[in-house]
Amino acid sequence: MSLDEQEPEQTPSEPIEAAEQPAAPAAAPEIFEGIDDVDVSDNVAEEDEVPAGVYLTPRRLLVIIAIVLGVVLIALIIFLLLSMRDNPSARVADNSAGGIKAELVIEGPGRGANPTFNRPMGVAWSVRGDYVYVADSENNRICIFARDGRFIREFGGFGIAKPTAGAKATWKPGLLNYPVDVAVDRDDNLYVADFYNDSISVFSRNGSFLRRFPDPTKPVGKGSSGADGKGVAVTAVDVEGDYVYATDGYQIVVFTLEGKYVRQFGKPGTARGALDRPNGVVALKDGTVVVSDSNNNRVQAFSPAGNPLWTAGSRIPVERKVAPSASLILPRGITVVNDESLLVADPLAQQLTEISLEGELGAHYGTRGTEPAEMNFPNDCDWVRSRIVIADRENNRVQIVRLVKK
Amino acid sequence: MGRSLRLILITAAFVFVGAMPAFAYQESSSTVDPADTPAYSCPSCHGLESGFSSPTVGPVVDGGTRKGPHGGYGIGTNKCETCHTLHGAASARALLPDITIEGTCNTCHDGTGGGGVYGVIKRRTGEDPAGGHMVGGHTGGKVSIPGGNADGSDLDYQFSVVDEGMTCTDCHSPHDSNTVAPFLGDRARSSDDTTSATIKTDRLLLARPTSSDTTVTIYGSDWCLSCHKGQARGTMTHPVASLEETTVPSTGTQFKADYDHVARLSAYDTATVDPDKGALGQSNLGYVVPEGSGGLPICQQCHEDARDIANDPVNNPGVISSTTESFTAAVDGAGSGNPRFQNFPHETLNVNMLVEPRDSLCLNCHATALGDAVH
Repeated sequence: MSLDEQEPEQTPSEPIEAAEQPAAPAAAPEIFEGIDDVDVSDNVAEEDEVPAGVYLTPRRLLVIIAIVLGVVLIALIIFLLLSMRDNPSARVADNSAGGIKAELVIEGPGRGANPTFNRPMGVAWSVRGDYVYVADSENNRICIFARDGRFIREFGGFGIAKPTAGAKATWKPGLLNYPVDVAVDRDDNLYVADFYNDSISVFSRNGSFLRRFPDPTKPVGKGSSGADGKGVAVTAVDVEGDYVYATDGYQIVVFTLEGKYVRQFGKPGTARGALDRPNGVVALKDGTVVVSDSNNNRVQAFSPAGNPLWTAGSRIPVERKVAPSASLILPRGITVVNDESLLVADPLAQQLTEISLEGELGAHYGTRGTEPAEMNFPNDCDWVRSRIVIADRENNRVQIVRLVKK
Repeated sequence: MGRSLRLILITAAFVFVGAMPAFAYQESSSTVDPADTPAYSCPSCHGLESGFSSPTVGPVVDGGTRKGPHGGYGIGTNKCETCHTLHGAASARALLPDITIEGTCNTCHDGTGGGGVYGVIKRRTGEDPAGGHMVGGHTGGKVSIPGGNADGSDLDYQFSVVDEGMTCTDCHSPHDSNTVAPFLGDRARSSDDTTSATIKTDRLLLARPTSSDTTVTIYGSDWCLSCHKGQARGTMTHPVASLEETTVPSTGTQFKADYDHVARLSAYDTATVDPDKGALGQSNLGYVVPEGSGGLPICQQCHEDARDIANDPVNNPGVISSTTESFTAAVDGAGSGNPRFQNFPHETLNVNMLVEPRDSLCLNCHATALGDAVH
């Protein structure tokens, strides 16, 4: 429909002055008033001298502008809708609490069968810090988000590798059974701690299954805590250089990137060097292995050969009176901050605690709650370029935050 | 004079109005002076745990073994805030982090940390267990208790949390308050167990579960019978007899003569065979009578986590259980006690929550192939 054809179809509600414009040049329509001082009478007087064709009257100009603006507006709305469709469960935050400034809260992919997280326990940044990887534990999947919260993809699904007697093994490559942690190698491949399948599954960033190790049906090294003493019930995983470090109920097991067993160290107990349900591990560039000795209320560092180096925190007496700020209660996921210090998530203290590379406890960050910047059993954290991603487990979300002074 | 009086009255009225909220505040009944406690100490209002100021049934368990947030709430403790929060709680229910009791417990008891793991069977079968004391499998309302009535019929009972059916706190006290006396665990499940033979635990079991109208001080048949009353109605239940027979240890009776040969837990290391118990049942590793039962068989002797006790005298004569069958893993010869795989009575695979099915169960005691006495 051309612009010329539109004029006769003007609705009665349109200004009468505009409809009678050619017949009443002396009474300039109000619609023209104030628009670039257009001299309406001159335009009308010269109308007969203009050749037939497209004649851009001010009114037509306005219509064109209105249409253009309308198209732009519709495009904007569509864009916004598409953006929201990408992830309605992510929102920018600007709260601060307990020395933590929230920037982004992600509550799930925002679509699909499970649009929200269910107890995410592990998080990791990609190598360049442009993606966030989330182990959505109860949903048996890994979710990938862009740094701005856009949902990229998910993969996984429930599969049983070690069924009880009489049950059926449903595991196929790529399926998971309670993934509790995730780490990346230098090529951005994801190493997933597949807890109830007693193994580590490796995926490319696009979600392709690459390999699984160790074999959950065979003993590993001198023994491990997998069901029937086979495989490793992995509670945490980290990758540094050419090695993969995994914790189970009481030890650290080291593998090559391809999954070849290298060594293991640690034993059950409370003595120095012994471990009780460690749930966090990070390897430093010099080969030092730092472990969250969770149920012993401490973090321990080991030499590459497995000799204990230092301990941060100490076992809390049963009648606990120490302030959460004075110790560690249940240290779990741990990360290196700028090669200068460590940061450990402590779900029972509801905070993140800084530890020096020599084992000295430092500042504490965070406070309990459900608002952005607050946490409810933070289970894991990972640092990249001043940004920290937190697995805010009982709030069923992850947060991207910065640390600020309290 | 009149002007001063009016001024005084007006002032008094303002003070009264300003003090109105104080009349709506319910004072704590605690006798502890808050001034004597550190600020924000929960026990100053909520009282102390049993064992600290008012021992009830069970004393607080060995302070060296209890970890986590359960128990030990002395004056000045800050353990309460581990689970409860005044502000920003996810749930109005006891200010907990999850909307259900079960969800709150599973924050730790998911297998990665705390003992007493729940949900393993579903993780390894894909379905909720068919048997066992399930929590979380109900949508609310009344729950049927098998043999819950004294005449042996089932009892439809409304447990403490209406919309959760039966839940964790119906049998356990997360505060370790009013619990049974600590007993030697029937199998090691804690990392500490590998170095000590004397550690006891009460499993946080309530001395009086929700549906019970009796208080039981020790874990054993009587504890089960406090809810399943009909099982104690006097008829013979082999090998557990009546409530009376199990609570009063026999001396010189037929029961004593028979069951004194049943291997039972006399030390924490259940791999040790008690030579005084004769050959009946052989080692019965992992198939034991908890301490305090008087040596008689109890419910838990046959109703336990489904597992292979492995004293199979027919197909495997002379071979007794190894530690790997009771303890799921070992490192350098020490049992790890990984608790992820067994969690009686919540989850068990065999019918009637029996430790083993069919003949294997009987042969744990009646080991005829080995030349033992046949009853």
